[in-house]
Formats: sequence, structure tokens, C-alpha cells
Amino acid sequence: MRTHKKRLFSILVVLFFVFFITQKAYAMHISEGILPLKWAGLWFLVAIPFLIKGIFDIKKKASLTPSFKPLLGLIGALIFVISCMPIPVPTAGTCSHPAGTGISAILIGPIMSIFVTSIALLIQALFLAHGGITTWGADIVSMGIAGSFAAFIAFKILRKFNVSLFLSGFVAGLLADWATYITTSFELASALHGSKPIFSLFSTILVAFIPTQLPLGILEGFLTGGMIVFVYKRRPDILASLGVVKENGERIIKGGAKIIGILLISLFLFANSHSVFAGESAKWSGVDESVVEKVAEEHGRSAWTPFINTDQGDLLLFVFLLAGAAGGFVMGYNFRKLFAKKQDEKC
Amino acid sequence: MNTAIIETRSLHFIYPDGAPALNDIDLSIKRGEFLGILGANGSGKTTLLKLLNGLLSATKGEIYLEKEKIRSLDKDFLFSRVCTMFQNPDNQLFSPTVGEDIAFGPTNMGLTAEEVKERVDYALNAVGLPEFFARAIHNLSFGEKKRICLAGVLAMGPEVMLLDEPTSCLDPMGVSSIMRLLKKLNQEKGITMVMATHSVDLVPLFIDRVIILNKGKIILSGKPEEIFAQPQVIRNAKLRLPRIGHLFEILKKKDGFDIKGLPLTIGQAREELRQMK
Amino acid sequence: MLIEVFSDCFAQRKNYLTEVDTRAKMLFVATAISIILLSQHAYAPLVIFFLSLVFLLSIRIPAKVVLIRLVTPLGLAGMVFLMQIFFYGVTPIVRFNLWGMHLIGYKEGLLSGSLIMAKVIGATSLVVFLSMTTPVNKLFNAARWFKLPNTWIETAMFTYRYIFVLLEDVIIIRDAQKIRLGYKGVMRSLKSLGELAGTALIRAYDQSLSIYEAMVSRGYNEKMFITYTGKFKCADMLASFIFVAILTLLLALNIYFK
Repeated sequence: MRTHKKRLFSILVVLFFVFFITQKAYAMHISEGILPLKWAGLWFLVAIPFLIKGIFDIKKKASLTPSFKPLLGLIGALIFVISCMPIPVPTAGTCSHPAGTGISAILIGPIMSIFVTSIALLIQALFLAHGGITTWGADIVSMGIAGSFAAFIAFKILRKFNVSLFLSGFVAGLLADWATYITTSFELASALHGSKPIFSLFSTILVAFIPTQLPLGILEGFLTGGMIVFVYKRRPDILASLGVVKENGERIIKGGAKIIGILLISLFLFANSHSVFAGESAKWSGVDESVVEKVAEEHGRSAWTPFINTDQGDLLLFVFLLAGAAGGFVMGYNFRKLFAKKQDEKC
Repeated sequence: MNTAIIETRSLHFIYPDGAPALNDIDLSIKRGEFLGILGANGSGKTTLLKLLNGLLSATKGEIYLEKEKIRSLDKDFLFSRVCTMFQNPDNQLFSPTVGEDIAFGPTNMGLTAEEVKERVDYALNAVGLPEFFARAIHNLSFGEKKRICLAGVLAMGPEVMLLDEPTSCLDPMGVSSIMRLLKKLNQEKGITMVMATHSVDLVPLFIDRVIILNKGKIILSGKPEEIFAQPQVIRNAKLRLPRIGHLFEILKKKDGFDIKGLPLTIGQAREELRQMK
Repeated sequence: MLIEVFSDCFAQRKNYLTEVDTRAKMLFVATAISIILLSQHAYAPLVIFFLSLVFLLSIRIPAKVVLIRLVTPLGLAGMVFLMQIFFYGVTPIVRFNLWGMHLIGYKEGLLSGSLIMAKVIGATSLVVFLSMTTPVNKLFNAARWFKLPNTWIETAMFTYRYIFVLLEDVIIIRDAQKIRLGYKGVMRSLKSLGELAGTALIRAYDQSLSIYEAMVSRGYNEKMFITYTGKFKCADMLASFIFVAILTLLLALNIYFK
């Protein structure tokens, strides 16, 4: 390529980077048209069972509390309105928009949160071109399923440890956003990686969106925590009737930072030991490849193929998924045992 | 025509949090009349309306619809005969379009699709908005929303309409237009109107009989000219005389004018002034 | 801020596109999007984009409004485009150093990235077309005809209706906060936003109770009845025929250029 063409191309690339990074950071809806048809269909298949469960749960709840249906509709409207609120992002100098799924998960539980998120997402796709109709399924999985469950589980666990309302809400909002971001990156990587290993694209997308998504998560955390505290102070009956808190006697702001610290450190150690960014090593070759392997080859001793070659296709990913599923199953099965004692004490 | 359609006997209501709302209310609403419930904010007007239409159950006492206790009446039957128009139209218009919202009540009454359509058209014509069937509700002005609310309850074909501050937040033209509409429905269709309001100026123009509520009790009851003849009681209830009435009260008491009775409307005032000429 | 390019006002107008039966339009959009997603070349998506634009301009929708709506999805698409250039392909077309990193751009990546951008533009323009020619309540009514669950549709219609009410309230409260310097500085802004969201929740909750009372007073028995969706008219048949012809042409183009 001639020098002037190269220069022009470089300028274009830099301009693109600047333009797209300074775009309003939305909580990662996948634009219409990005996902191939079969991937779009796959994510719909993943989302549908949750929506069906949601319908059953709503029917059951509405038969006990008939005023629940209008409330659900209004929470859907609330989520949409919250996702329209602009939050100033100090690092990027632009405005972001929160997802809001963390809030709905705390208020009505994850399954119904997925349900109302699906409605809010469709309206966002139609009116604001955030997300799309074919990518609706994928967005339900990332924002609805991942976001809601991450927020709900985090909130419930922290509340069990008597962490303050603000901090519990903060962590829930934060994790809802980051879970959405990680899931969306995975959805994109799985659909677009082509012949290259999925991990390299996955980690690249993760890294590329850090400047916008990392601060957005923190901001959403503040929004969620602040909102819960505000409502608790003004109208604790609302949170009590939704089953979020007891009507009084809750720790509001301070309390529980130590536990969060412990959890964060454990998470950090876990992430490091599994090298989530292992894919990054493909970009920069280390001493092993550039020196040791070359020398070995020159001396007629080339590297053997490993017995279990995790670089084959998506084998490594599959192994992680298995480990995660097994761990999740064990945790879920034993979860009750963690708290059964408290119930016995009450008796 | 003058028989009572709704009666209350020793009606008491206390809110679940212990706040007393209504105390020993004995009320008799005559068929076809336009009754006004006047009272300041917090006097219990809205609570009384909610009791009359069965949304709330009395703590003590009874309410009768044509001699039958409303406690024992089928709720669907009650709601189709005693309809309510609430203060905030956004709370009452919950369908996306006008046609769908007006159709809500008649459909729930079990009417066929043709009958529902007839009722909707009739209601839209009655409120003067015949071409609004397909309009989206969120695009309507406040006044139009109020009229559609009215259409929604009219389509159910009620005998009694309970109206909670129907003129609040309307501009002067909107106020007079909706009041004229209500009066017309009352006179031409014979619908009994029970209107809760604190707009005293409307009372002598449209209302046949008034009760005044103060802190959950009825302190005065009668025709407008009877109750406004006791200005002190009115003021104790945090209300006032209609402007015309207040003017003539001042002219009588402070400026020594010889005025018979107390004119309450512009028409009555003109008549009085002509006689003084 | 909040009502950016809410296309609902356009969908409420009366023109030849809004009069076409919703189901025909939905089928058209669904088929066209499928064609776009299955395209191997950028022709079909771009043709569809121009077609949508032409349709929208013919009903006097300002081009600026349409293009603004297309900019939003381009953010993510652009990122994907860049990644495709640098991570996908075997034929390098450019090498350069950026902040000490040695980057190689591939020809195949550029082509596939461009295809993705074209797909995003084409598919989004179809969604814009649908949202600007069809009021949302008609979309939900048509969804009922397509057998989507009642519970979902009822809740969706409620949500749609009350978005506007809540949005108005939120704008008023936000302005009230603004004029009292509620958004001065980042920490203050965050606190105000939390209070804004909290107030919105309180309003939403209280409103839901009032709505329920109003519904009960009108005989609500846990089923929201939605009126009929209407029969297909001659004009709809003609419109459907034209749509199918266009789509068949595009499909043929797609196959021909493979």
C-alpha cells in the first residue's frame, strides 16, 4: 500500500476510534443486523424458557394480588424511563445511559425482571434504535437474564450478610451492568470470531469497551444504591410490600464494606488464576515463543503437541463452561445449607 | 323521580393506619339530582365517593343502592350502575387508544362487539369528540383526556355518576364546557350526579343540592342558597362564598346596601341590581 | 434529553404507509431482515436501506430524523468493523504502529467489516421504517394475531402507555432539581439521579394502585380486552404483493451475486 494511502487509512482508523469511543455509551445493546440469523435464533431459544416461566409466575402472582399486573406494567415503564436518564461519565466526557435491569431485579425478582426487560428492550429497539428485533433475544439474555440474575443474587447474598442497603444496591447495579457487558461481548465474539479462536475476539471486545462500560457499571451502582436508599427513607412500605426489605431497622449507608472487600479480593484472585485475558497473550508473543521455541527448533527439538490441546476450536471455553456449570450446581444445591441454621434459631 | 337511589346510614370509615376519615354520615341521594359534596382538601370527599362505589368497605354503618345493601351486591352489578370518574385522568386512561379505553368497561360488562362499538360511538358523540376513536391517549390534551374519561364511564350506561373534582386543572373554558356537559347528561339522560369539589363558584350554577363536609362530618346540607346563607359555617369549613355572593355580602354588611337574599350568580346579581335601579 | 427521536408522532399520521395493515408490514420487515442477515454481499442490505429511506421520505419524514436514528447502532457496529479489519483475514493490506503496537489490517476483514456495517444500516432502517409507519398499539394488536402470549401483550401495552406519563413526571422533577443546582458536579449529580429514580419508582407504585382502582371500578376481571385487528383490505393485498415482489427481486440479486 502506498505511503499516502497508508497515512489516509491510519487517519481514518484513528478518527473511527475517536468517534466510536466518544459515542454515548449505552449499556451494550447489540445493534440490529450484527448477529447472523442462526445466532440470533439461538439466543431467542435461550431467552424463551425464561419468558415462559415469567408468564407463569405473573399469572400466579396476579391471581393472589390482582393489582400486580398494573404494577408490573409500570415497573416496565420505570425501567425504560431510567434507561433514558443520562449519567455524566467523567472519564469519557460524554453521557451514558444505565440498563436499569439491576433495579427491576431487586424490586420484582429476576424472572419477572427478565419479562419486563424484554418489553422495555423491544420499545427501545423500535423507538430509539438501541438494540434490534433480531437481536432482541440476545439482548434479553445479556441485559435481562445475565443482568437480572447477577444483580438479584448479589443483592440477596449481601443482604443476608447484613450489608447496608446502599452498598448492596451499589454492588447489584454494578454487577448487573458488568454481567450485561461480559455477556454481550461473549455473544458478539461467538457470532463473529470466524476461524480465529473465540477467546481472542472475546477479550479484545472486553478490552475495547472498558473505557465506557467500566465507569458505567460504577455509575449504575451509585444510581441503584442511591435509589433504594431514597425509597427506603421516604416510603419503606413500598420496598416492604415488594419483599425487598423489612419495613424498618435496616442499615442504610454504612456497613458491610469489609465483606464486600473480602468478596472482591476473592473474585480478583479467581480471575487472575484463570487468566480471563489469556486470549490477549496471542497478541503479544512471550519469551517462550520468540526465543525458546526458536532455539529448540534450530536444534532439531520442536515442541510436542499437548495431549489435551485446549487451543483447538472452543475446547477451552467448553471446559470453563463445564466448570462453571458444575460449580454453580454445587453452590445452588448447598446454598440453603448456608442459611438453614438461622431459620432453626428462629424456631 | 324524587325517590332516594343511594342512602347511607351512620357511615363511619377509619383508614387501616388508624386515621379517621368519615364520621357518622347520613346521606340520602335522590334519583336524578345533581348533588355537590363541598369540602376542603382532606375533608373526606374522595373517601366518601370510594365508599359509595364499593371500592372501600365501611368500617361501620351501611350504604344502600335502591334499598339493597351494597355490601351484599355483586361487584360487577354495582360497578355498572354506579360509575366513577377519578381526579387524575392518567390514572383512568390505561389503554393505548381512545377507542380501546372506552370499550374497556362495556366489554367487561359482557356486551357483544357490536354493542360495545355502539356504546363507544354514543359516548364519544355525547362528549363531543366523535372523531377521536383511533387517537393515541398520550397525545391528547388534559381537557380532552378528562372528556375521554367521562366517555369511558358513560359508555357503561350508569344510573349514578360519582365525579371526583372533574374540573381540577382545567382552564376556564374547559371547566365550563365539562360542567355544561355534565348538567346536560343529568337533565337529558336523568343520570344522578354526585360531584365532589371545592370550587364553590360552580355550585350555584349547576348543582341542585349541596352537602358540606368538614373533617369527615356533614356540617351543612341543603340547596345552594340555603347553605351560602351561613357564611361563617362555610368559612369554618375552610371554604368561601362564591365571588358574587361575597361581593353582595360586603355590600350588605359594610356598605349598607339594601339587598334581599344573597345573589350567588351573575344572573341573580343582575336581577338584584336592576331592581335597585 | 429524554424524548430524543420518539417516532411515535410520525406513526400517528395518516398516509398510505400507515394505512397498510400492520401484519403485512411486519411480514415484510421480518422477511427483509432475514434476507439482509443471510446476505453475503452488501448489495441487498444497501438496496433495502435506500428503499426504506425512499418510503420514509415519501411520507415526509425528515431525512435528518432517520439518519440520527441510524447513528446510534453504528457505534457498536463501528467497533466490530474495526475489530474485523485487524483480527480477521489473511491478506494484509496495511501495517502500522499505533502507540507502540504493531497492527496489521486485513483485506478480508475490511470486506467482512463493511458487510456488517451495511447489514446494520439496512436492518436498522427497516426497524425505523416499521416504527415510523405503525403505532405501537397496532403492533401489539398484530402480535396478538401472531399468537404472542396475552400476558406479555397486556403488560407491554401498559408499559407503553405509562412510559409517556412517567417520562413527563421525570422531566419535571429533573428540571426542578436542575434549577436548584442539583446537577452541579459529579457526586451531586449522582445523588440527584438516585433521588430522581427513587421518586419515579414512588410515582410508578402509587399510580399503579390508582390505576388498579380505576380498572376495578370499570369491571376489571383480570383480562384486558383488546379490540379487533381488522380484516385485510384490497389495498393491503396489493401492498403485500408489491412487498413480496421487491423481496423476491432482492433474493434473486443476492443469489445472482453470490
